[in-house]
Amino acid sequence: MSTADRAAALVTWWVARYTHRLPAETAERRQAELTSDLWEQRTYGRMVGASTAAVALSILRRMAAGMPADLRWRHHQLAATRGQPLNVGGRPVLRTLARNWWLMLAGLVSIFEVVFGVTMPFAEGGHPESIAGGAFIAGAGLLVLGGIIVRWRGSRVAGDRMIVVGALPTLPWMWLILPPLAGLTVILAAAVDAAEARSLGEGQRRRTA
Amino acid sequence: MRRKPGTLLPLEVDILQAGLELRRAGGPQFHGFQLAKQIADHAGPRPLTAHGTLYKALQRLEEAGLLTSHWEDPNIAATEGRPRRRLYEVTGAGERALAAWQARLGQAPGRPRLEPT
Repeated sequence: MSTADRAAALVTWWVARYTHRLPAETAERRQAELTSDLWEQRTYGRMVGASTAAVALSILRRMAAGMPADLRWRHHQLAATRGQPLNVGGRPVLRTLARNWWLMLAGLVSIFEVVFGVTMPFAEGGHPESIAGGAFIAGAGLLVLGGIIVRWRGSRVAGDRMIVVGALPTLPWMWLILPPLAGLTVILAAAVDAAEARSLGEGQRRRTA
Repeated sequence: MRRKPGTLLPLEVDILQAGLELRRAGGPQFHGFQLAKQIADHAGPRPLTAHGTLYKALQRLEEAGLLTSHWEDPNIAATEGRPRRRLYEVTGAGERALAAWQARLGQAPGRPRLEPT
């Protein structure tokens, strides 16, 4: 079994997981389509002489980037099966909050970095190094804030990337526990969101009426 | 997600455009990987569309009547020693929806894409 075959087996496993307990026809269609897609991609890879590792990486990337869509699709299928409306319960404000929880967390990370960055030089006696370090951290906080704004203004992928980079300085402060945990959560959520936006083509362009 | 009637997501535009390009190239029906490949080839250095995103979008377009699909004859797949393909085709409504969307954006149908991808 080649590396590409193993990657395909992993995708097959993932498809079986997220189609579990869906109506048989729906589940079988998705499984069969993915079986065909995986076969075609590996065959194409062999035809053009691509390495099996490159094909495997491409297959895994397609799986990972599509996971949010897979889960939402499952949710919609289950809701449809049960005869429920897709947006079950909750006021619009609550639904928006549920969708964008990680952006609120990113806002908190941004505030933490700016406050920490501004106060650090005072706490450490105003040494040039602490001023530079503080400016760097505060700048990272402003980058996260900028990312949130850029995202809301329409450039989702660019905004997500700014958030990822801006949240990175929280990671080394492991002894503070909460900030690095929040930073890591924000980084992962923004990375997944950017991957989904890219796969929807939103990273390349934005079409508006 | 609620959308204005007639609005197409970027990926949906790509799917319809790629489907029509494949039709012009002599293959009116296409399968999922073929479509992902066509979109990637025409979008410059862009990776293949993710599985979940692609098949969800295909289902959405089919439900909207912009695509139709069916399973190919299992004998053909068996003869060629591969899994059965789900074959898609852009409908007349799909063509019209794409043309209307492009007209709204000031892009004439059939012209190369304006945006660098």
